Amino acid sequence: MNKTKIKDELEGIVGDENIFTELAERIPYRFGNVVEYRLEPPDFLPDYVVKASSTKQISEILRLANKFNIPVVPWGGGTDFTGANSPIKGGIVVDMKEFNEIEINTEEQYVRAGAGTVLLRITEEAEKNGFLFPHEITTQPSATLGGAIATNSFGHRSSSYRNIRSLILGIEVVLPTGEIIKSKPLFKTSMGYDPISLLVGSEGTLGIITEATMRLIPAPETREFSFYLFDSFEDGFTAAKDIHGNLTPEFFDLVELSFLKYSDYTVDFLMNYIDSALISSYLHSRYIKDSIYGNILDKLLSELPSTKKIHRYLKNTIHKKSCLSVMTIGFEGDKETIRTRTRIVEKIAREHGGLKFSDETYYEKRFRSFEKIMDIVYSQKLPLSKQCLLTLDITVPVSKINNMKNSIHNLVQRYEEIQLLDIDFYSSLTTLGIDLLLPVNKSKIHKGFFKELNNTVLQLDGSLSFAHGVGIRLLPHIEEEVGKEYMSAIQKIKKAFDPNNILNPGKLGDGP
Amino acid sequence: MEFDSPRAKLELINEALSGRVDPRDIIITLNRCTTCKRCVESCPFGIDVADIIQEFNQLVRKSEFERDKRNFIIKTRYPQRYIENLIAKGNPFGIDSKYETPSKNIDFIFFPGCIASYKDEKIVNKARTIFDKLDLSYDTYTGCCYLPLKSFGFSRNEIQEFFRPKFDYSNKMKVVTLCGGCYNSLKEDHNQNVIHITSFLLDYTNKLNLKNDKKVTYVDSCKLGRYNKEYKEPRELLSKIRELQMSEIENNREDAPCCGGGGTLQYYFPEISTEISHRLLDQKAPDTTLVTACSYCKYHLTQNSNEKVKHIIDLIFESMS
Repeated sequence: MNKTKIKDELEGIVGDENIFTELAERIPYRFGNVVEYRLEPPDFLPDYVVKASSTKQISEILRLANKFNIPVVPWGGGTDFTGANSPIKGGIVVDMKEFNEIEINTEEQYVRAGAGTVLLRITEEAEKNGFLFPHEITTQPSATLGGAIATNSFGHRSSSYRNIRSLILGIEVVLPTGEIIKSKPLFKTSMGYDPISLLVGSEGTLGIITEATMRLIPAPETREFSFYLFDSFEDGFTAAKDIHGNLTPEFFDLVELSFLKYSDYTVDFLMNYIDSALISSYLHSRYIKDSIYGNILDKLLSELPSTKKIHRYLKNTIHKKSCLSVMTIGFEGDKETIRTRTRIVEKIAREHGGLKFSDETYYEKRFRSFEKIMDIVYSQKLPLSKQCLLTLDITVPVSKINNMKNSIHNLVQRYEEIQLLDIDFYSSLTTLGIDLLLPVNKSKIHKGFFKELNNTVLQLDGSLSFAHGVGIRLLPHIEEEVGKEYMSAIQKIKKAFDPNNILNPGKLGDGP
Repeated sequence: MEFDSPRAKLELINEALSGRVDPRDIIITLNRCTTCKRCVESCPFGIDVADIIQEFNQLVRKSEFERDKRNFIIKTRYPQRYIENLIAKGNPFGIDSKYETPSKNIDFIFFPGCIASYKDEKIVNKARTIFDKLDLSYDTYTGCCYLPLKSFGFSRNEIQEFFRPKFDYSNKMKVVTLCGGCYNSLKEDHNQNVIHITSFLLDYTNKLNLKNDKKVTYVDSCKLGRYNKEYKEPRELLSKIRELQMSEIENNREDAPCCGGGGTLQYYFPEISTEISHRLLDQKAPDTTLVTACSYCKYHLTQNSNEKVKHIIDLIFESMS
């Protein structure tokens, strides 16, 4: 391969100042937030990092890549969890952040934005114009629209507004061979095959998304959150099931706090949680020593919202040896409807022994869940250089949830070096976010653990991912989940879109 | 670009510390940073990337120094003249710094900082006029606080040794500064009883009888704001000027933009540094004058644009009756 020639031609497309070849400029483009690579640094590197700023440039870069047979990988906010944006075969990484223009159309009720636009900016622009962009994810301060579409992102509001696929009106895409195709930003069309919808969830293997037009909805009059604490996970889950049988909340979250048993509790740790809705759950744990409990209680009394109620509750239940869960329900809309819906939720929660309490700052804090987890890690004084945090996203049918939950606990008990922090039912009854602490440099243990976990999920008719996608992590497991024929169909689609296997090779439709 | 993100800086440092990458290959890219600490404010973990970069700079310089003791400044990426001047003359401009023999019975030491002393003498005189009006007695030291050397990787011990005005006799003596950088350095690196002039003057506003109907936009300095959490004091001082019409930059206090002059960015990447200055100036309310409490921010912003930028002391001086 003629490296000087490639660089010369790239220069002709984007200009000398937009090509980066220094080692220090290329290292950060190896992976996003991929634990596997943090544990064992990868040995691949992109050859060129290119800053592109127009669809035409993207098209020319892809044509050049086909000519020289060199891989191209698009890069958005770099918030990926699975290695989907890693240039594992080197080549050109195209940074898309310059595609960041936003246009709000109030008459058509849509936002048109470049693929590199940061999601938070779209949310803010929509709000300024009296609209809601109903897609919020934890990483929204840095995740981009193109990346969200390429992974069919799932967010905090997706319980009622669905995932990002259902918000797309039209997109513009450059195919791996350089052709630019577009769909019109209309509510619905019916014109046969819809190749563009295949791009949703394609993880940068079928085309580079350059622009998208997204549906907006009128901003809700008000927004309200309530929290319910349950004696056991089962109570919380049954209540949540009943609630979903009656209505669909805009926000839903049910956390089972599993890490309690690993924690060497300290007063400091608990004090960190004084203002958090979760405090009561920690106190409720059977693992807390009475002496510490006594100290904390006085402080709680003066500082927690509706403290007295919780105080009484805790005093009565502290000796019960049960697990527990916290449910968060959020509603958006007009005040009257919210009142009615809240009443229904309260009634159901009460029937299952749920205790209501409120935390008015929740909305401001909701994207800081990492902070919560890291506080736990710090409080346990775990040697961070020897532990690594991994969030898994699996989904199983409602009827198998209890099975799945118990299997996870059994599995973690057998793998002593792996710690379970919490299981979070995120936006829906069937989507389980699992936070684990893994030991560093023990890939044998990781492999054994994940093999068993994956088998359990598949035995329970579940799927290995509901949000974070395939990337390199789940690539070896797709066939187990979907079967040989399905796999072959994926490969045929990839071949049809990308005959020379230029775009993000070694991933979906190509590897392993 | 990704390599400008705080996450990437940590990743690069991690690669170097693990021995997979030669530190010299990443040190320049790593210093595409003004050390303004805005990223620390938005980090959910509160990781202080600016401090980590500074420490890494020290490590790299130390190893370069050990490798070649005589020629390390000349051969490497350091601005040689600048550093030599600092060490020999006490300021980067090569002029002899003035250190008066400590007088007895003074109220405080006035430490305007090298930028004000040699590039903006008017402001030093204005401050002196204000002090004189208040019948205060003080000594003036015109040297550098050596903060720039810290950015180039010199250690705290080294800069303490270079530091010309040895305040050892007066550890409890109040030191008044005009500059956010000096304020932070005297406090953190030289353990002085330092007070920024905005806080200092708050006790004397009654005697100054301030009045001015100008329209101004106030912008926080990183070293005074995010580094030392002095958000309230400058605003309070401005509020003592009767009839002053003050507005704020949209992103203020913890979120305030940097002037672009921090760290070593302006030496390695002057265009980026200038661009940051312009972005700040673009945020100013129309038909107002930008006011800062830091003499370095003022210098950097006026150097990089045709805008008129005032130090809070310029404004106080104009507002005295």
